[in-house]
Amino acid sequence: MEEERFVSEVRAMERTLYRVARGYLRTWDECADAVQEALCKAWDKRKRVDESYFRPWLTRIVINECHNIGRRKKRLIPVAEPEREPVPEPVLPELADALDTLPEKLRLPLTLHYLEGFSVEEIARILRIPAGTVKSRLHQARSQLRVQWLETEGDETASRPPYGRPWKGAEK
Amino acid sequence: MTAEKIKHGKDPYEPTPEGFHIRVENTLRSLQKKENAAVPRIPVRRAVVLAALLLTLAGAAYAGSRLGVLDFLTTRIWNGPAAEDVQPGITQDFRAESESAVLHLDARDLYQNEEKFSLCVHISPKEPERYRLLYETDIGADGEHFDRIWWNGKQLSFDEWLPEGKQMLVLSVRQMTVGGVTVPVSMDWLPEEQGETFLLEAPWERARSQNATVNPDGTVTIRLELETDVYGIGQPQTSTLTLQVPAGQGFAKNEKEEAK
Repeated sequence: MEEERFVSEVRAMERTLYRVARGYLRTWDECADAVQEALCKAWDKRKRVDESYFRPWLTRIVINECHNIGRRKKRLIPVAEPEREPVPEPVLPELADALDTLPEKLRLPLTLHYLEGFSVEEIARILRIPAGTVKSRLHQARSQLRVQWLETEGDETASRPPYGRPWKGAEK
Repeated sequence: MTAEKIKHGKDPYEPTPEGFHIRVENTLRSLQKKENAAVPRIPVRRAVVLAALLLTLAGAAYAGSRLGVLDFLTTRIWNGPAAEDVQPGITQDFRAESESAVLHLDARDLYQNEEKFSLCVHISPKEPERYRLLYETDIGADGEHFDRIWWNGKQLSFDEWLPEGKQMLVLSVRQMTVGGVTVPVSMDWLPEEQGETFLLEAPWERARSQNATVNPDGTVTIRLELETDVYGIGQPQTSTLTLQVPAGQGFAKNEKEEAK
């Protein structure tokens, strides 16, 4: 991939990269660290990648970097809490909170599919899971979001599954 | 509904912070700068393969030089075919004969290139029932006995080598001249015809540098003087073979210079 093409693709993906990183990391500067690291790695390997696969490929690298930062943070012993620039208030705080409470394996397919516009097949390649698994996780994620939303609205029937079967993991 | 909002692509997250945008832009700029300043380098894997290849070639060349393969390629192939491989008629239709009191000389093949000429001469005693011919360097000592004879890869005593009733006729090169200039010459048996045919090789260089005489027809005269000696008795005899061969480029220059 040519230099100019790489730069323009990254600029077009900036929001996606931020949101993907934001799903893992809590501060925007950590997100920037992850994306910066991913961009450096992607730049070195850009000539080997198929251009049509660039978006999922770069997203996968960002996810890996987020995991790396998460692992690094666990190993560090904090001596003093560094001052962090506060994350701006979400546009839809309830939805953002609801997304944040979803487990990673459900949240990521959901955001990649509905917010970033990746197809099921692309998500399968990014997350290295079968397409069928992506579909079932999307379904689970939607269901859990619905339940959480109704619970916050005070609807007790929300936690009740159809046909009287209990939700997996739902409080009794 | 939350799930519906998500389904309709509503973005719940905050706008991308300006600081994040700046970091991405700076990263892209620095990557572009680095790319422009970077010296093209060979990828590590290719470098390793290249180094291995060079090492193999160097090893093969070293082994080749130790085994004499390179010498064979450079002196025999690049400088033309080996003199002993020269077939009759390769250079020209050529024949020169002479007879002396003891020898019959028959020059059959001539090969020449820019550097040297090789002459194949069949030498036989005029009285084969009386003499057996031997080149002087094939007589020597084995460290214990004197007068050993090296013959077909074996060391033999005189009695073993010399048939009963015959005398040994020892052959040596007395002199070879090209256009009147004495040139250094080497003489060997031809492997396939031991004892009969000799190969004489001499470089052109000395004849050229010392202005050897070129004949009016553009040839140069080669004169070979051989000496024979009956072993243990003496009676040295000189046999001479004279032949004309086309002079090479170096000789042509001399001729022009002389004409001027």
